[in-house]
Amino acid sequence: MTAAPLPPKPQEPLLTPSLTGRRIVALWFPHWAAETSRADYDATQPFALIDMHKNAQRLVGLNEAAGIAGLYPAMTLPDARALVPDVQTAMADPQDAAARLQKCAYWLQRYTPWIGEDTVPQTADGLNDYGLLLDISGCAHLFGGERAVLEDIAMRLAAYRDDRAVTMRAAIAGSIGAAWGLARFAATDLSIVPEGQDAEAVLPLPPAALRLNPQHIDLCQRLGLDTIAELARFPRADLTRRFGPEPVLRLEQALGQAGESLNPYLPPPQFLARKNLPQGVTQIEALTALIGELCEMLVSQLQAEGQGAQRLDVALTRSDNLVLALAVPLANPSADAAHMLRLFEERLTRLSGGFDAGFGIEGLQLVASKTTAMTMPQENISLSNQLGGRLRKSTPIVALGGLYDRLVSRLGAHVVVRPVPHASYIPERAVRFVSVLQAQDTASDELVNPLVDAAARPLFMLCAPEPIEVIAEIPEGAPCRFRWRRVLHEVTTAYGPERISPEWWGGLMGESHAGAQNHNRKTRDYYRVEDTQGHRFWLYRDGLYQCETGNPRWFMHGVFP
Amino acid sequence: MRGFAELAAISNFSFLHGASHPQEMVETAAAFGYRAIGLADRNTLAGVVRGHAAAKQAGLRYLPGARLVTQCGFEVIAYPRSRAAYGALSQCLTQANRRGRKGECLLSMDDVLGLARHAALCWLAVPPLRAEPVFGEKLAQLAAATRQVYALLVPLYGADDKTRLRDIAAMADWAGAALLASFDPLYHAPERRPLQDVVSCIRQHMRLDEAGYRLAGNAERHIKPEAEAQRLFANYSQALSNIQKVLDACDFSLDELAYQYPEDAFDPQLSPQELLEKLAWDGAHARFPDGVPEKLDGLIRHELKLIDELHYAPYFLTVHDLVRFARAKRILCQGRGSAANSAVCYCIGITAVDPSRLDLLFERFISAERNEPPDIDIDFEHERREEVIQYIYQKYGRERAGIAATVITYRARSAVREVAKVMGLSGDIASALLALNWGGGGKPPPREHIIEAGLDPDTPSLAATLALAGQLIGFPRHLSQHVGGFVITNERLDTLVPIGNAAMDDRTFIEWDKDDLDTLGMLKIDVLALGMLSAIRRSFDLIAAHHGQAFELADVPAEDSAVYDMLCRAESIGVFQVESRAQMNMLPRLKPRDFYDLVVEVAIVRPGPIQGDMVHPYLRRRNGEEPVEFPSEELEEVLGKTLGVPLFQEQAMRIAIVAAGFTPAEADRLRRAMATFRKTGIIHEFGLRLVDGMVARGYERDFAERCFKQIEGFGEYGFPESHAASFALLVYVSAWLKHHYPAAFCAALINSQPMGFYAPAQLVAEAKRQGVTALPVCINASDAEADLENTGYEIALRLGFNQITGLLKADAEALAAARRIEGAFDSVADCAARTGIGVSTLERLARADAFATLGLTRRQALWAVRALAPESKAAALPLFDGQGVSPAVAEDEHAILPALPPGMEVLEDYASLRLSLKNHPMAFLRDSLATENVQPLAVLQDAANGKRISIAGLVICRQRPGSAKGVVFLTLEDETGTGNIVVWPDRFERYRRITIGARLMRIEGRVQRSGTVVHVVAERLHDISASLLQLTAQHGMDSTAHLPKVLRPKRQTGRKTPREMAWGGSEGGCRAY
Repeated sequence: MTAAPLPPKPQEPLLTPSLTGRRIVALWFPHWAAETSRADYDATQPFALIDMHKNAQRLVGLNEAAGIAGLYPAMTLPDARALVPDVQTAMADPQDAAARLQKCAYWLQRYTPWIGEDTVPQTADGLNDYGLLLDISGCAHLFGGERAVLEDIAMRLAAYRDDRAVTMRAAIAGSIGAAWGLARFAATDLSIVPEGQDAEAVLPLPPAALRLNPQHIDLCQRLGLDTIAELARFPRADLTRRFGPEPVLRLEQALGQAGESLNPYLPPPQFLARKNLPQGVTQIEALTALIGELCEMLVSQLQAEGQGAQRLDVALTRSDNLVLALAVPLANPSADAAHMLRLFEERLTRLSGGFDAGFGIEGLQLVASKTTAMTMPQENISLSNQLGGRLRKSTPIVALGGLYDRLVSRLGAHVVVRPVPHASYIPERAVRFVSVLQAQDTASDELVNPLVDAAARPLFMLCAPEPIEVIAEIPEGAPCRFRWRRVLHEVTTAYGPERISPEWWGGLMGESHAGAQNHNRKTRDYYRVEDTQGHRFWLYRDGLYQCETGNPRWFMHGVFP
Repeated sequence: MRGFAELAAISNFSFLHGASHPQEMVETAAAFGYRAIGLADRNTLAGVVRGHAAAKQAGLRYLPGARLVTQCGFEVIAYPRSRAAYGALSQCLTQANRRGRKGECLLSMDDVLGLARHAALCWLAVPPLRAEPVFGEKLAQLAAATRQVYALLVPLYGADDKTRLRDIAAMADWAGAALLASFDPLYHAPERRPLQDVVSCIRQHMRLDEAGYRLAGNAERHIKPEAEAQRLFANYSQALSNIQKVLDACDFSLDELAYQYPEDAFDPQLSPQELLEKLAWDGAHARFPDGVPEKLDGLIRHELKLIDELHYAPYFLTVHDLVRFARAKRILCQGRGSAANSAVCYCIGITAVDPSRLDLLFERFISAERNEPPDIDIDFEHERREEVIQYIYQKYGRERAGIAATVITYRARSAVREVAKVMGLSGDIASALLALNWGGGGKPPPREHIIEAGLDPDTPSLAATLALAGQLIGFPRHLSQHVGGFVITNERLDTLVPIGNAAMDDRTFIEWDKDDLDTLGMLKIDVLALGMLSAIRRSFDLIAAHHGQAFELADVPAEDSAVYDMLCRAESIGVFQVESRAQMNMLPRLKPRDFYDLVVEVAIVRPGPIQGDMVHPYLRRRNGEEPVEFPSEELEEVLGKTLGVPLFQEQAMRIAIVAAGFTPAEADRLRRAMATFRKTGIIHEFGLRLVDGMVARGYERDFAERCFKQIEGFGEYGFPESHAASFALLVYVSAWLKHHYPAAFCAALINSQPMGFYAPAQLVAEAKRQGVTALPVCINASDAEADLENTGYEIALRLGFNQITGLLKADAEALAAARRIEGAFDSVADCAARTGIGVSTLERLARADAFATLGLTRRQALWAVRALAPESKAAALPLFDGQGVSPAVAEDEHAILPALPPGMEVLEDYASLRLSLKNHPMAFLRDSLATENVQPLAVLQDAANGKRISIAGLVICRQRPGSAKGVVFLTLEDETGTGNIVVWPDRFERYRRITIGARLMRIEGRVQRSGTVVHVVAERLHDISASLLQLTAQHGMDSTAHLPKVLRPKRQTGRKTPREMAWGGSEGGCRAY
């Protein structure tokens, strides 16, 4: 074994960093996903987010307590439970975490407009890593200096929630590479490298701080190159031959010798129309006309992007700076100004009693706050006339969508419902009422009861089955006569029984089946019967004779027209 | 007409369609007094044998058939009317199976029509839920092809059932088919409807609340009393009376599948019996050139006579043929199983166990009353078994040879996983449920464990899930191929049973499993793989090459007392079967002195004798601490050899017959009930009978209950004497090799990895303890595998390239070959240029310190290797392309890099070689440990009983045997030796994390000594894995990631410990060895 002092080879003079003139902040949130999770948990105890990763349920996000308890990222859930049986868990939602990071980035625009995505969004295990980059060149003095910026951010993040802080490590340096590495590997949580001293700060860090890929980090370790300094003492050609170009590039980037640009977040397109009025307007009619203009402006924006609005928000600013807000959801995405205006008219008329314009409205803003891609249906020019409207099959649906919107804007979203078929044998559950904004037209075989023709169901079903007195043969004979609402009916013809067993899992599968509790837990035998008068009824025996009940009761459930 | 019969039953062998076992369907039909039952599963005959057996027992007439479901959705049940028609049906299913992937059966309408035209079957068409005209058309096509066509009338209790039945009747009339009454049952009783819904959802990957109309609307698809049938089909009396017509037409029974042994002409001149006699006597004379001993002579005559009476000669010849093939190819093999330890098998070379050393009665295995084929399993070297399998295929063809199926059933864990999904349990509850310790068996975990996991077992959804999962356990899930059970027939195999594709390319297997074959009395030969045979073969080869001595299994000198001395000292690491912790504890107590002691040793450390509490009585009697006495005179004959204590499976059977008055057939049923614990109810019934029977005959209840407990234990992991004897021989041979040729034995074991309980590190350490010199992997001295090397004054063990983790075999061979041609390598670049192996392989060699002989350290070698990396191409000058290695590169091989500290060298050894010849990692921690008063493990040997002690070591083995009630056994290793630790359940709960996770452990506890066996009972455990970091001097955040994998904290829960649970059935051999 050769003892190895640092070689006396002539050093390449390239370790002196170039002065970039930039000041880069790197933020790193080691526990971002866990700490910003919507899950409620005790932050003082181990908590982990779980996701499928490499064919197993693994921990993909941890809080600090979990790390202290010995859990580590990418550990499988059974392993984790073996170590910490009472670890709190929740399912990970990486998209949500990324969205929150983006939100955080927009929020950080208070310090600088130039916010960048992290350059290495994944850890060595292939898990998401959460960090941000800020270019604060020339901004720091506005907030009382660089340290003040970091402390301000840290303080605000520490108050992320009442019970939970967001852990942050941060560094300020002259290059993206140096700041990134220091944020993760420096000895202190917040480090600031004075201008021109990047090399001194970076060289003692481990090679992993250079944003190398996992294989290269491993190689450095095996070669005994424990710090960037040891790596940097080799001629760059030798390094490139063994590692490829990446480490040298990363080294040069960290030292500011190679340029690197910040990849900034761009806000999504906004559909917004705004009008400021020289004089306050109080008349509803005038306002309506103004909103109509805004609608036209908005629609031209939407059409340019091929989008349809699903939700519109209007904000009216009074001269006393009070803002009146109005939100309108739409059943179908729309880019039709006239339709939009009609919806606002409905609202405004309804408001007219309580509408208080104060000393007048001075500003109007209309935003399409939720949009979706929409294909514009082509208008039929002449064919429709010739073919007698056969091609216009889609028109009624569009028209119905318009009607829904108008009804909803007049009556409220939860009031306007329509029935949709539901795949259940239980008659009262075979139809569900769903808000028109959510209902979708689906027709499929899955929604057709395979044992029942449509004709076998009455048009009128009683809200609640009514008990009746029946004389019938046991065990499962059809009724001979029955008394309903004090009238005796003699049965001439009976079809049945149609046997329907209860949905035994009702009530076992979460809240969505609270309705299942209502109907009783016995098998029903339904009969269609006709009496001497020619009236037809739908009635059932509740419970199988001797299996479920000794003396089955009978109920009337519907009437055929 | 009286006398209803259900002819459209399906069972759960229509995977995820039916919700009852075939037995349940048959038993229910019998209970309702049906005239017959027909069982026809979807596109398979997999369940018919079970139904057949159940019907036979219930005395019910039984029709085996299949429900053919075509890809166009036509469903029709086919019952063969003759043996030939059965064959045609089976062939039709085989063809359809072979078209699809595993588990698929691609059947077309043309297949059905073709079969209908050419074979005499009865056809029962199943109308779809909505009687659509297309059904009538298909029915007419079928009726045009054959006259025996019926349309099923099934009351479904839909809204217009009467109309539906009328429509079907009209269609059948139009098509020219008759009507047949049926309930088309999916389950045997209405209570199974929830389970039926659950399996439907599992099949369609749905949640119950999403499944809607895919499920049935009511619970009517079950077997109903005859009166119901009379009432419901009152308007269709023809449909009822037609049942009798079908029954009259189909008088085929599975009993007609008379099995014929393959009659390949072994010798044109001699009949099979004559040939067998000739071979047996030739073999006897060859084994005893000086004259066959009288006792053996008598045995051979006796056995040959019995074989002649039962016409089993072709069976023995078939097995002999396989063995002869293996011999010719120099593949080691050894027979075991009931008939294998007979004198005839010894003479014709199927086994090397001299029957005169044992005293096994041949009739015990082949009884004239039970006309059951003898059972011989043959173990082959695990790496060469495939050659034998290919030989079978080549000799008999795929038409006549096939592998038996294994029915994969839902076990507790899989059942809960599926049911939880269907019930829509949230992910965290489901994973918490699965995280429980489910054990290996079929029972859900106890309530306390569920509560402990933070779940409330009384929540309705959880309770329902557990109850349904409990019902699902034991349901067949799919068929898979058996590890080695071959069926060889004389006629075409596919006329006997359908054959399907296996997941492996070019593999097929039949639809019946071992039990089914047993029921029908069909010949099967288990061709199994045994790792130890490979190791023994390798040892023999190494000894022949380096010591010049040739051995075969049968020539190893018998009864060598030095070998027994070694075993008595429990120096059994690497020895077949007796190397586990439990066996090592038993060896010094049992003190084996002869071959039969080894037979006992192998059989005694098993769940059977342990659960039956037979171990301690046997040891006491053997050591003369208790008089040898027999519960009765009649049992003296049965238990004489084992000092009055039943240890073997046969003895338990004999007790049932002799002492409890079972008939041999009943005892046989008991054996079967034991082997398949899914019918726990039945075994309990047997238990009552056995105990009561024994008590009635004057035995003590306590003894009777222990006997039954033992039988229960055997049920799961049975061990008959003949198996034990075959294994004992391998125990002896491997112990003999270990004692006389430790280096060769160690090399052979390393080259046969993975096998056994111990890693190469422990095997090499053991060889070093025996005085063997071990040499490191070296680029200029190692071979592809571990080898022996004559160093001039001794024969040493040289580790091979196969020791390096992840090194490809082809690269290892390329290295050895290049060196043989042009001599030793003189640089890394030279090695790369002459072998053409890739950079990643060179890196592995560097990591393994294989370039040390060139004067390069690990890091220097790696630096040199990386210069050859493909990335360097970009940097290299085009001038040097194609001209080997550039001088510039060769020059800086000896780069100056920081030296690796010695501790790290050892850790690196572990990382790439899983062992280190330099030192033990613990040695580097010794100084710091000594300050904490931690003693080396070597002191345990002389430590006094009850002494408190603090020790530390690397955890090399963690076991939590099922029979030990939650006790965890740890084996620690340090530079001075190993130590055995016992962690009682209360300590385990307290130090759970450490017990499971720590790689390096410090333990404070009390010494417990009994004889030479020393344990430390742990009182406090400390995880000192982190102290390894002292050696690494690394930085960064994720400390464990930088450690070599073997030293990282690792999980080994008690959930599954295959290595100790192995040797399940007779086929278990393939799992651990």
